[in-house]
Amino acid sequence: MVGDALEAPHPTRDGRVTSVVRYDATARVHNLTVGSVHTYYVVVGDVQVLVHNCGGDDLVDLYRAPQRGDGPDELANGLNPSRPVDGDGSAYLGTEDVAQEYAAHRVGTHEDGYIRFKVNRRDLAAITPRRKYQGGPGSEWAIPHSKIAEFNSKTVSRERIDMPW
Amino acid sequence: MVRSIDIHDIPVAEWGELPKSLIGQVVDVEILCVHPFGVGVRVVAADSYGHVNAPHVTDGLFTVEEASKEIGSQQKAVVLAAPVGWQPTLSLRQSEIPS
Repeated sequence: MVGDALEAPHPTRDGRVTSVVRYDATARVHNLTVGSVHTYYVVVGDVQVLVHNCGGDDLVDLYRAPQRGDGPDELANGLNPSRPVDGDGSAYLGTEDVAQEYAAHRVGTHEDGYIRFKVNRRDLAAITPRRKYQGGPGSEWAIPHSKIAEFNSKTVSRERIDMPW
Repeated sequence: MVRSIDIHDIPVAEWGELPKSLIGQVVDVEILCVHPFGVGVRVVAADSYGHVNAPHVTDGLFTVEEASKEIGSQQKAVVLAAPVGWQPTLSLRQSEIPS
């Protein structure tokens, strides 16, 4: 917001937000994440200001093969609480090996690919615990129906991974 | 979803108890309902309900249309897990059933 103070490496060089310009356009944009450090300085005009990666560094990867036909929507918008997800109303995500089971070609009810969701570990722990997958090796997370919107809001990124068939 | 009775409409607390001693054992089950996410069964000997996740329904291609033809039939299944407070899970895949 205008007036917010920005952290600078030299206390004598005050960094402060002087204006905010809203810009509306349809264009491809990319989130920037620096892989090796969480916080770093960027130069704004002639002042260095401290910034950090979005979502924190302690991210958990969760995977889910959408039911067939739901993939594009889940990739774009996250879990959809308005349609039946799984038997008890929860949405299930798992480790990658679990998602690959569901994405196997012989499972005709699910897409031949899966989505990687990245969520801050602390945010995820507040929503649901990790537990052993009941169908074999691996782990799973059951997102209760009442917390699907919260899960979506806390999701840092989603990425589609296709199976090689 | 195709069903005779949909066990997923019933709270898990009312599914009946599947003894942990049955984990890894082969049991007779009756196919009750079929969903995209898996199949609901009744474990005959324990008179309790259980769930088969979609990847564990068949070694062939799992579709709701094909699996629903088996509703009402009895089949062999292996008990994978019987966690307290959660759905017991089984596998119907022949390749996972001990001979």
